[in-house]
Amino acid sequence: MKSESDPNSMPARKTSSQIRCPADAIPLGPWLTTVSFLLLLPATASAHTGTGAVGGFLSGFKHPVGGLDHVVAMVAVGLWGAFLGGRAMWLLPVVFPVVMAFGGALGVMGVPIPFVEKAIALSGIVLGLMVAFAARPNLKIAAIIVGVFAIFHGHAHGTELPTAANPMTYAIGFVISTGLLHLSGIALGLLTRWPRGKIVVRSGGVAIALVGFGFLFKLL
Amino acid sequence: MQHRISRSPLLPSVFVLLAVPTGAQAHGAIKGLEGFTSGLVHPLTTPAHVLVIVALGLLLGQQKPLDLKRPLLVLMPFLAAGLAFAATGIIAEIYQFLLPGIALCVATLVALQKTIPQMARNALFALAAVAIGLDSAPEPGSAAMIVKSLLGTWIVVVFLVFDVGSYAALAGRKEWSQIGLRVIGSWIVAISLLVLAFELKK
Repeated sequence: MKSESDPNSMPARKTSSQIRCPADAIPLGPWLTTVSFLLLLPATASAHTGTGAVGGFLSGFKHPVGGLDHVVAMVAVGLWGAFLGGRAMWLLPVVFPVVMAFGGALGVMGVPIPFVEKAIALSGIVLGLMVAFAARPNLKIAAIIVGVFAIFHGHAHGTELPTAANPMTYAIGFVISTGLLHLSGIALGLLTRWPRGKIVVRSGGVAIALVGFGFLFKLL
Repeated sequence: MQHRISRSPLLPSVFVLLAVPTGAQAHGAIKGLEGFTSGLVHPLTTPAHVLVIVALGLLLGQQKPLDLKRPLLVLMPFLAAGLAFAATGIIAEIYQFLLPGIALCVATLVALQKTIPQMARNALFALAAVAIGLDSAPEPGSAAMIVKSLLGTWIVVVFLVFDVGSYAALAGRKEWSQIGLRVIGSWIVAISLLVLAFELKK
């Protein structure tokens, strides 16, 4: 079929928004524009991060995510909560920061607790296995298990607190960071609504338990 | 089939730009501010005040039956009294445990989602208002400047408690958002505990 347009005329230039793609392809034009914007962004300077209110917040925010043994345990709390479902999904992440802060307070004041590092590694193993085996104990028992481990995690953080940081903003950053790790676990745990998601979450539990073993036997 | 997003090429850019963090502006918020503006900003830049204000607002919004008016009517004069004491220098400094301690008590009630008797609620609001007022001593300056600064602080604290309380009451209509309020309460409890420990260590 012959085209009705003049074959000698130059084709009109297309803008990025007019770049058409096959029906099932993602249009590249908008994303090219986005990448161009991002290349123009300046890098932000991060001066004085160790001191003052902002430094205290950043220091506290980074502390819980600084150690893999802590991170996996926090995520495991959220995952397990999501697995238990109902009230447990939110009760465990409410219990953990409060009890952890109590442990942190003990650490700040120099009250000694034995076997802290081993208990933290053990928390990864126990919580990971709870997720891996999809264990559903009584809610009170689950809260006690989480609470006991939270004291050790809090104590470890409390004893490692930098003295120069602003205490108030340090605590705010620390608690928000911990809470966000729990929320990440809960978000991942919501995959359990689908059969394949359950497999993914339980596999995550196995991985967390393995990390715990790694720390317990000093392999990591 | 045409993807809808292709009609607005700037849309992804806007989303990405919104996610880009802004650079921290150390010491930029307070320097150069004075009078009314300084008073307005003061509670917002004092983390201990923010914690108490948020906790009071959440408690206010959680109470059943909802009553925003009476606790605020208690808050307003006691806050004014605290500010007046601070400005006149009658009480120069407050006990460092006071604000984190009040935040701890109020946030514990929020985390437990407890409705408390009106008398106890009013007493908590009065204590918190006096404590915030006493901890908001204005910078030295002319009498007019000090009054403007105190007025700014008074307005922003009352407004924020009312505002947080209103949003908490709206949020409390759904079960998941009630839980969200309790989670925020538990975070404030944890922060207050840690701060109290820091203070004890000093």
